[in-house]
Amino acid sequence: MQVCKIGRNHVKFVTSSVIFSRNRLLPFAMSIQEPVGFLETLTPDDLQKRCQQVRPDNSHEPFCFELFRRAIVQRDEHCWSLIYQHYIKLVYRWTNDCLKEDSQIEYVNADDLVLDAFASFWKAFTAEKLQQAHSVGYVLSYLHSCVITTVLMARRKHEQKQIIHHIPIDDPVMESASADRTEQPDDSTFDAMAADSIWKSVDQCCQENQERVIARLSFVSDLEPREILALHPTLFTDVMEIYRIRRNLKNRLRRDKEMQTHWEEAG
Amino acid sequence: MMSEPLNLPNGIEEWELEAFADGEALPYIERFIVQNPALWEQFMRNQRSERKLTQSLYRYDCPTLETIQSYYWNELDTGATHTIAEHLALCPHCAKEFQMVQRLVALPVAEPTSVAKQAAKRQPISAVPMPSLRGVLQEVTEQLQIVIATLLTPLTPAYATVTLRSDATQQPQGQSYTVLYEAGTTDVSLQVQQTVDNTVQIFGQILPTEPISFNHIRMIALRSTEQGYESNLDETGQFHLTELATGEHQLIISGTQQKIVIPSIDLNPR
Repeated sequence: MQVCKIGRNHVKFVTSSVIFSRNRLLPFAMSIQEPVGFLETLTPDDLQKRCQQVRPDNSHEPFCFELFRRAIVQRDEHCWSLIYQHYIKLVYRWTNDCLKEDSQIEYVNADDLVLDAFASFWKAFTAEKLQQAHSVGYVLSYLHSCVITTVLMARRKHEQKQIIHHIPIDDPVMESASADRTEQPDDSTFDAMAADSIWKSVDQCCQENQERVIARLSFVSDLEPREILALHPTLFTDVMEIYRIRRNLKNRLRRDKEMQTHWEEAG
Repeated sequence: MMSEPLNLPNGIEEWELEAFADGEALPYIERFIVQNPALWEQFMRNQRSERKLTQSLYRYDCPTLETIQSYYWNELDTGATHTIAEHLALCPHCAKEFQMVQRLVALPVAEPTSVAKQAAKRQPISAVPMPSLRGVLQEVTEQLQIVIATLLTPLTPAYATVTLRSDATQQPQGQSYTVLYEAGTTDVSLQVQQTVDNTVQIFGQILPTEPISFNHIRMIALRSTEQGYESNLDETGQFHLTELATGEHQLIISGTQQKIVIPSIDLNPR
């Protein structure tokens, strides 16, 4: 990597290098021969125009980066809007790519996910993180990760709905019928503290490692015995062994006083 | 979970019924069920009852996706990093989610224009029309119904006439300011008021110049874990949000044909 010497006010002959400007590192390749501080003299609209002029040498990147800097550090609302306008199609495409990977969440509105992803990015990507960013690519990668986690969040919600109402997978009719009920979930079911307490009781009923693995993967991860066997092929001889152990454990839970109390409390 | 024990004959075990119910090939269980439909019904009732255990415990201790994202970017402290690593080893769902983040974020980031350029390069000269990346992008653009609002400041007299027209009796008392946004053919006027309890209320009005109807708004706090705020618009396009936390927010106005988003509204005291 070449570090260029710069004059008091100008950057010279920079092709692919690190540029220092007013104690600030502009850490990406650029080929502009503009005065230091030049970026700061540009209006947000000028920055957006230059950011849009994608060049093979990435000389457009400083302008994009400056837009992000003003939006994040200076909290410039206009820059936020321009970033939205510039990147929304990209975010839309990422969202659709994620949705295509997962048939379970095809009923989710992509528009909402796009906006949630941007919101999640604004929440997570602070000025401190921008200081660590070494390129616009890094910032966009972070935005991409926000898109993925937003889509995954929608999937978790969808799965939760299926578990609560015991909806067969890929049954949109049943899902639609249960939509209203899902808006008002049973508090007892969602109470994480209660779940923690129930899990402790289950764990206490487990007498050996095999049972503990089955309890965890059956009751917490909702895996079927075949899926458990695929994850732990050396721990069990065959799938029938998992059915046998799980049944024994369920019978023990059925007799357990603490578990009986939990179910009475849950009504 | 309070299921009744099944009174099964010798040679038939409850776990075998469970295996059969999951699709395992057990012909002798199939014959047994045909001969004992009442027992099968009781078994199914038990299964539904036992299902409550999974309903209560399903992914109860999974970290949020924000935490998984922070783990990916190495933003967590040592203790939290260790906890998440342990959880990923234990939980197949979170492990899969983390892998998806790893796999997709690792892909090279391409901006729309360069993607289109690459797609154009790859396009065979005499190719039979088929879905190309450019085609997909075009499709995405066409279905895009999101309009980004931009702030019109300072509020000039020309725009002042289209600011909030709500009922005078509902006008907030005390310090307030009005901001006007432009989103395509629609204007959005927000009157922001700081209240004595350090919260904010907003009187808003949507002013479409074309026959586009909007019916719902959603406000998301951007720099805090505060829950979002939602409200419906009245028939004149007005809405009123109360008890908003100060800080930055995103406003999404939804209609049947279009969504308007104001990416960032600063509700901090001015």
